[in-house]
Amino acid sequence: MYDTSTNFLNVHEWAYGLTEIAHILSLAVGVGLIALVDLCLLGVGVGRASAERLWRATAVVSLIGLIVAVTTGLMIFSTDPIRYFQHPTMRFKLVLVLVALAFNYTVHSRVARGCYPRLAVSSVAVISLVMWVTIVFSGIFYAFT
Amino acid sequence: MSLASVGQSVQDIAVFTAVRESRLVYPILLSTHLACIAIFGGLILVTNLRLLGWTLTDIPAADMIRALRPWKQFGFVVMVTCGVLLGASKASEYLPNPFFQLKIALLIALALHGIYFRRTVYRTAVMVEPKARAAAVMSLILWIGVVSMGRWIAYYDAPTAATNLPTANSVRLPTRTCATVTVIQVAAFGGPTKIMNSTATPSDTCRTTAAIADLAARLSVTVVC
Repeated sequence: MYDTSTNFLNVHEWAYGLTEIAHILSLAVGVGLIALVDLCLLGVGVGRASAERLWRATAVVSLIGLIVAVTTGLMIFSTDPIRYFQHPTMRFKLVLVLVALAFNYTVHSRVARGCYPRLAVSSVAVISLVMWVTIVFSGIFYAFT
Repeated sequence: MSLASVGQSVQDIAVFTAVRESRLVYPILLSTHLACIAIFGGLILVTNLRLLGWTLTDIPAADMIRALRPWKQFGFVVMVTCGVLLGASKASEYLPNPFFQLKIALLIALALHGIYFRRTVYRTAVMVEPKARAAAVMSLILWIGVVSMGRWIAYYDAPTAATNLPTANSVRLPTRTCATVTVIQVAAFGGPTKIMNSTATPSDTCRTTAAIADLAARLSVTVVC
């Protein structure tokens, strides 16, 4: 039987807060760089760089950011797994994270690197931005609902 | 007059009271504040990586800075508007909070950094390479500090304030340690309490709609201007 009182984050006074900070910072790195590609797809360019160029330039750092965000997220989850799992807002967030990650590395990356109709490109960028912003919102609303 | 009493008079202003007591406006502002960090933080990061010469080196840094500037400014205005509303609505707690003070100090340092590097890095076509690197390193350190202190604000218990009430999360950290912050002031630390206790009561629900409309108007005025 897993006892949450033995969890490292519950035992060490600064560990929980520092993990949360790492979660937010890595989120900014991962999501921020995805948003940069989205903005480019929506026509807000960075100089002359194409979306494909931006995607390639940011892919590795973005992936590292997402990996750290998911890892720290799971660490926070492990401090009180039953409460988190039973909470509808948190469930919504977890499902949306999986959907957004899958979307990012299938549809989003393909659109960023290929030549597609303008409407399709804009839709993908908007869907991506909306999903990531919703994930941030559900993370906060979890604490308030 | 103590900082707490100054904060009290600030948070007693109607709009800030409405934010504090609202069920929805407070978390919406907090989420927007954080979403801005997530999205516009990426723009800051990519600029700094370019200034360091680590990525997109075929694009002139000056071009990138110019292209991203309006978006960063837009994000900054939204982020600061939300931040001011959030901070002012709990000003009596926040003003004496050493982490809040540190966050403000870091934001001032960021402004000074922007002014200092304005001519050599941020508003020039001919960039001075070592200065660009220094600006990028400072920007990264300061922004990481701002975000970290922002989160840590929630973990400060004023020595005599009633925020030490047991909450759902207080079980997480049974230990209560004393540490010293010499950067700004000496202060006693407590274990983390719940991130934010919603002060909403059922009677606030009717006020929420009015508060949202009021805030939406204020936000749009701020953004447009």
